[in-house]
Amino acid sequence: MVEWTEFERTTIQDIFSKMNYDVVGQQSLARCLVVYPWTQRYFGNFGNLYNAAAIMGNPMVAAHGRVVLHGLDKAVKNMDNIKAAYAELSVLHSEKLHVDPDNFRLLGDCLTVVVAAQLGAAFTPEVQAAFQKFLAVVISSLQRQYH
Amino acid sequence: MSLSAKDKAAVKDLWAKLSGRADDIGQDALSRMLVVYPQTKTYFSHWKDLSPGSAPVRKHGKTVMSGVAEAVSKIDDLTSGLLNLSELHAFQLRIDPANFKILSHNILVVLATMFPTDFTPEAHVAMDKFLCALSLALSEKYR
Repeated sequence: MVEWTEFERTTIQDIFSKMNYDVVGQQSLARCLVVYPWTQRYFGNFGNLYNAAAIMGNPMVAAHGRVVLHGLDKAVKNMDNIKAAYAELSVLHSEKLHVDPDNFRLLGDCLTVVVAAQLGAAFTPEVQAAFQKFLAVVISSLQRQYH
Repeated sequence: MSLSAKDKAAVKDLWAKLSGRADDIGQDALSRMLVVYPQTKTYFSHWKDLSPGSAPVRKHGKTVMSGVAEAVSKIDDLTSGLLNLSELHAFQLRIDPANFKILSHNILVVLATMFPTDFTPEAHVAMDKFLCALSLALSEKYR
């Protein structure tokens, strides 16, 4: 059972309520594909991923970034039981998508960088700690059903 | 994952833009590391104040960033260029190399907050590769 402080709850709700999921989703996934190019292995049918410009402008990447962020929303709305809320998603990523869980952390790091760039100085060390703790719980829940 | 000519150019380019704020970057990255990854505080039990922006944190942030600056100038051969620093970390400081990754991550987060337009995905990948190479060079003498 994850214990959240008042500050952590407020911070997470605050960040996500103000977030443009479409923009942040596209930017995070695209950045991940540029910074960690081996993650492109999961997107063989996405067309042109040959260089950073192509990735940043790719509409399938944008669409999928949106899907991922809306998936994250489920955790935001169920902070007290992310493990249960993500049981199905975990099975999906393990059994159907065959995603190496290490990739969750890579995408999480890119999401952190994108949010940091948006919030600037407002992304204080304490806010960063809350955000990264939230992502760690999400990632752990996503990995839970792997065997 | 060695640094290509393009990577080195991107790093030098970005460094030129941010070197003026190197001290701020160092202090901020270190502050974040101590808050977000509390286990790193174990290396600084001799400091009086570990809070973000404190005097020892500011001073040490400066020290760390001057090391980064040295690495940028020796980007063509980090292993030999950082030999002294590697010996320092291996034999005296004995910091677990896993922590290099942690500090690198926080440096990248700080760059994102301070230079949102300059820290493009291309700049990000070059900087990440550079910090990885730097960390590797620092671990050179460990065993």
